[in-house]
Amino acid sequence: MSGATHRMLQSDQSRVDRLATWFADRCSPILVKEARQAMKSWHFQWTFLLLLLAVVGWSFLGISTALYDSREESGGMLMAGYMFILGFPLGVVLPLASFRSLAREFDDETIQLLSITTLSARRIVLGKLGSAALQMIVYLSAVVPCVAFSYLLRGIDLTQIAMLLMLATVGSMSLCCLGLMLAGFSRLKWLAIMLNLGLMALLGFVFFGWCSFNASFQFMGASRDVFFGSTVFLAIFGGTGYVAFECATSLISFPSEDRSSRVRAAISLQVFLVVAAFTGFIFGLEGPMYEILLYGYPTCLAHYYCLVGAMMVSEQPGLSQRVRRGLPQTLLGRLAWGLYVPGPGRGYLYALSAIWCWNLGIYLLLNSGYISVSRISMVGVPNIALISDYYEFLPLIVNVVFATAYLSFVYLFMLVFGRWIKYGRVLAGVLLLVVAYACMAIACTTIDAFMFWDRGYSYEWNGVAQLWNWPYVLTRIGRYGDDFVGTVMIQSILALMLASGCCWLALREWVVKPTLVPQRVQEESKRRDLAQVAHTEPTSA
Amino acid sequence: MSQASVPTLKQPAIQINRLTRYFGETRAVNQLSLSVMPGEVVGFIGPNGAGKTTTMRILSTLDEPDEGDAYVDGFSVINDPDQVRFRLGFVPDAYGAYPNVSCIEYLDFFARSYGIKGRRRIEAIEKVLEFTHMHHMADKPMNGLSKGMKQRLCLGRALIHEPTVLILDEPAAGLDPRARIELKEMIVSLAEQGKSLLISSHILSELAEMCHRVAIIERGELLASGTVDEILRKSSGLIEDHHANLVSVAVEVMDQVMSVASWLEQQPEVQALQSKNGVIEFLFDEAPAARCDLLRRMVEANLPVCSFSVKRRSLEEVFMNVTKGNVQ
Repeated sequence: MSGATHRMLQSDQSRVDRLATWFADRCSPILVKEARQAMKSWHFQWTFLLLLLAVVGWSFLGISTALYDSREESGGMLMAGYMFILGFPLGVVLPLASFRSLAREFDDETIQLLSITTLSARRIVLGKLGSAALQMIVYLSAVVPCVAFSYLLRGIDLTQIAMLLMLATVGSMSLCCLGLMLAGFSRLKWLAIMLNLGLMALLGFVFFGWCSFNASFQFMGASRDVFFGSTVFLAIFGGTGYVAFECATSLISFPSEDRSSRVRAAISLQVFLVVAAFTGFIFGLEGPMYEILLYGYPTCLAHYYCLVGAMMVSEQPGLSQRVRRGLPQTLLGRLAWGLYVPGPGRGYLYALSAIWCWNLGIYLLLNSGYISVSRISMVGVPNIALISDYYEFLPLIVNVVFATAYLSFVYLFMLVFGRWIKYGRVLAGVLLLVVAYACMAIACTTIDAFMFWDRGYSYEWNGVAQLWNWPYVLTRIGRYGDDFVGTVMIQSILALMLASGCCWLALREWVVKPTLVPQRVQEESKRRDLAQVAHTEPTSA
Repeated sequence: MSQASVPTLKQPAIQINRLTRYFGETRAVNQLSLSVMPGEVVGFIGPNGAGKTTTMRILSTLDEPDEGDAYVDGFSVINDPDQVRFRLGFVPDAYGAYPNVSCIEYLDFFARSYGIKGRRRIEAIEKVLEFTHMHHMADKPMNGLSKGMKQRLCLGRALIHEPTVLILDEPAAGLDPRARIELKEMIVSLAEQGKSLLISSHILSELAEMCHRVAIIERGELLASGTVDEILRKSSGLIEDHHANLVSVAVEVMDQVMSVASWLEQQPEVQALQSKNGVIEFLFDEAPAARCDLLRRMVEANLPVCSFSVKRRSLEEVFMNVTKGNVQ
C-alpha cells in the first residue's frame, strides 16, 4: 500500500475522522476538490489576508474617528465600513472566481472528463456554488467578530445587521450563479474573454451600487421603506440567481436531457417573488402606484416574457427518449406540467399564458374596487381614485397585444426557418426579437419623420404609421387615452388572429406520449442506488 | 497479441449502428457501423479529420449523433448515458489537468465523481496506483508530471471505476519510446483482464501488435474492418475473392534471378509473380504443407535460394492501400 493511500486510511481511524469522511462522501466531489484547490490557491490566501488587514485597519480607524468626534453611537458607521470591505470579496472576487472556475474547465478541457463521470450537470454547478459558499463563510468569519463589535457600540440594530448580511450573502450567491451561467457560454476562447470583461464591468457596477446602498442604509436607518426595499432586492437577487443557476445547469447538461423545464419553473418563481416583493413595497409607499401597476408591471412583464419566450420558441422541436421517460405518467400530471415540458410550441404557450394571466391579474386587482390606488393628477399632485373608465386599461391591452404579436412572429419564423439553423437557435431567437423591435421602431420612426416633414404633424397619421411601434403606442396611450381606442382595437384583432393560428400550431405539440423506462435501466439504477446506500453508512467509511 | 484468440460472447461490448454526425455541412461521421466484442482490442485508424475522435466522443456520451445510435454493453449512448458512463472509461487526447491538485487528490476526486465511497474508494485508488506504477508519484502535483506520467494518470483515472469498456484516443501521442512500451504493456494487460478496448493511434506498428482487429475510417466512412490479413485480402487489387486463401511468399536468390523466376512461373500454384532486387515475390497457397513441398522442389532443382519466407503485410501497407488520403 502506498504512503499516500496509507495516510488516507489512517485518517479514518478516529470517530471524528470517520464522520468527517462520511460527511465529505455526501458532499459534492466538486466541493471537496475545489476546497482543496482554494486552500492552496494564492488568490484566496491573498484575498483573505487583505480582508483581515482591511477589517483590522478599519476597526482602528473607525474607533479613533469616533473617539475624536466624541460620538456615542458609532456602530452604524463602523458597520458601513465593514460591509464596504466585505463587498469586495463577496461581490467581486467570489463571482469572478466562480466564473473562472467553470470557464477554466472548458479551457483545460476538463469539462469533458467531468461530463463522462456520473456527476449530473446540477451537481457540478451545485459543487461550484458550494465551493463559493464555503469561501464566503471563511470571508464572513473574518468580519463577524467585528460586526458583533459594531453592534455593541450601538447605532445599528440586529434587524439592520441581519438585513445587510442577508443582502450581502444572497447577492453574492446570486452573482456567483450569474458568473457560472456566463461561464456556461464560454466554450470559445474569445467569447470567454468578452464575457469575463463584461462580468468584471458588471461586478464593478454592482460593487459601486453596494457601496452607495450601504452608505444610504446608514443614513435612512431602520425605516419601513428600507425594510421593504431590501426585501425587493432580496427577491430580485434570489429569483434571478435561481434562474441563472438553472440556466448554468442547462448549459452544461447533456443535449438529450431536459434542459428547459426547470428553467421555466425558475422563471415562474422569479417573477412571482419579484412581483410579490415589489407589490408589498409599493403598497407601503405613498407614491404613484397607479402608474406602476398600469404601466410598470405590464410593460416589464411583457418585455421579460417576450425575451424568455423568444428563447423558448427557439428550442429544438421534438423530445428525446430521456425527456419522454421523465414526463408525468398520468394525464392529470401531464396537463398540470404541460407548459413546463420542453419544446417550442409549449414554450410559446407558456410565455403567452404568463403574459395574459399576469395582465388579467392586474386588471382584476385594479377593477375589483377593493383597493384604491394613488395616481398623479394632471397637475402632478398624487390623489386617491378608483379607475372607472374602460380606456384607462388600454396600457394593459397594448402590452398584451404587442407581446403576443412579437412572440407569435418569432415563433412562426422559427417554425418555418428554424430547421436551417443548426447551432445557436436560442441566441438566434433572441436576436430575431431584438432585430424585430429595432426594425419596427426605426421603420416607424422614419415613416413618422417623413410624414411630419411632408404633411405637417398629425397624430392620426402617426397612429397609423406607428401601428407596430410598441413604446410609441404606449406613450401615446398615456397622453391621448380614448383617441387611441380604435387603433388598439385593430391591433388587438390582428394580434388575436395571429395568436389563434400560432396556438393551433403549438397545441399540435401538446400531446406527448411518455415512454416507460426500460426494465434493464430500472434494475440497473436500483442496483446502483442500493450500492450507494451501503457505502455511505458511517461505519463503512 | 494479434494472434490472440478472441473470446466470443453474444452481446458486443460496443455496437455502433449507422452513426452519422454533421458539423455544419461537413459530414464528420457517415453511416458508421462497427462492433467490438468483450475482451477484444480494436484499433481505430484513419487520417486526420477522418471522424475517429467524433465517433469516440459520441461513444463516450460527450456528443450526440445526428442519426444512428451506439450501444455500450447494450445501453444507448443517447438514451441511457448514465448507464453507459458506469461501464466506460475514456482517455481523450487532452490530459485535462487541474492546478493545485496532487495525483492522489485527482484520483480521489474522480473516484468520488463516480460515486465510489468510503473504503472502497481508497482501495480503488490503491489498485490504480499499483497498476500504473505511480505509487511514488502519488503526492506530486499534477502540473509537475511528465507527459508519460500524465498519460498514465489519465489512464488510471479512466480505470478508477473499473469500466468494462475503454476508449483511448491517441494514447501514445507525444510519448517517448519507453513510455510507449510501458503504455502498450498496460493495454495488453487490460485486454487480458477481459476489458474491451477501442484505440485510435497514428503509430500503426504498435497498434498492429496490440489489436485483435483494426477498423479503417476515412471521411467518416468505415472503409474496412477485420484483422490486418483480412483487410489486405479484401482490399488488394491483386487478390480476388476466390484467392482469399493465398499468401504472399518472398524468395531471395543468390543469382540467376531470371531462371528461378521462369522456373517458378511454370509451377501451377504460383500466381502474380514479381521480381525486384534479387527478391522474387508471388502468391501461393497458404497451407504450410504446400509451401513445404514447393521449397523441397526448389532445393531438388538446385536453385540458388538464400531465403524463403511468407511476407506478412504491415498495417502501414494496409492503411496506405485502403485509404485514399482524402480530407474533408
